[in-house]
Amino acid sequence: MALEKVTEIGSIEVLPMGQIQVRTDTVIKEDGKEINRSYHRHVVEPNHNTAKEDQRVKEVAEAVHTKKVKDAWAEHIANAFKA
Amino acid sequence: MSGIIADNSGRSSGVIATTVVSDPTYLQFPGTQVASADVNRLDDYEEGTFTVTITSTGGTITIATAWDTAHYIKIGRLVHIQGFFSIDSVSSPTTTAYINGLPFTVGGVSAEGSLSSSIATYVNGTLTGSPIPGGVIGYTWSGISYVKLVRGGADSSNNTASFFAAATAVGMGGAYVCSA
Repeated sequence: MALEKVTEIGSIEVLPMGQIQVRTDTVIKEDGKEINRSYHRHVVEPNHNTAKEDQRVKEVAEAVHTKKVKDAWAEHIANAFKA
Repeated sequence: MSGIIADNSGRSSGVIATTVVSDPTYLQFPGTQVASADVNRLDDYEEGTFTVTITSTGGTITIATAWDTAHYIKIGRLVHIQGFFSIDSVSSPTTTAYINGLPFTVGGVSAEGSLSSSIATYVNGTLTGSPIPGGVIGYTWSGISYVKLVRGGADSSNNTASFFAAATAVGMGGAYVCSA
């Protein structure tokens, strides 16, 4: 019986303002057959540093986080909590 | 596969349609949500964890890595979060403290509802006068993935960061509406 633990990007979702919702799956396999899967999530906002992100997430961020998107996000953040 | 939901009188009250049912004991949703605009349709259920960091307007607040994981349950657009964190160290934190790392971005309920949720938060600082007088309220805002901590009670200022110190305990629990 061989147990294996694999971490993989399970989902990358891009939202209209450029936020990237990332789901990282931890998969436990027994003799190659998946027996458990758990989720860990985080959000990459347009002003976030992506240096430590998975390569696929980095590539999505590079494509999505254009100057226009970053500028719009900066304006959104500047106006946050001003009800 | 589909089935009929019946109340305890035996009358059917609706039809449930699921995409995958491998065991009739469970209501199974796809691993990747298929969002529905139908306000009467439950389209997602998910449980998981997320990693929290705490930042401040000035200075730094560092969470102990053994105490930086929180849990979420997402039911449709409603995300319930809860976690307990311990501060490892600080370096002159000033003004407002923020809890970062929410698992889903906050959704706007309406144009007026961008200030969409309050997250109950407990900060048991180690400084004189702690816990923070008036308590702490966590606010979110449409589109973001963090919680802003402000003081409650008579002093509703944003000055929460200076109450954080090494060994401060932080509890957080509540729910917010996400975007999909």
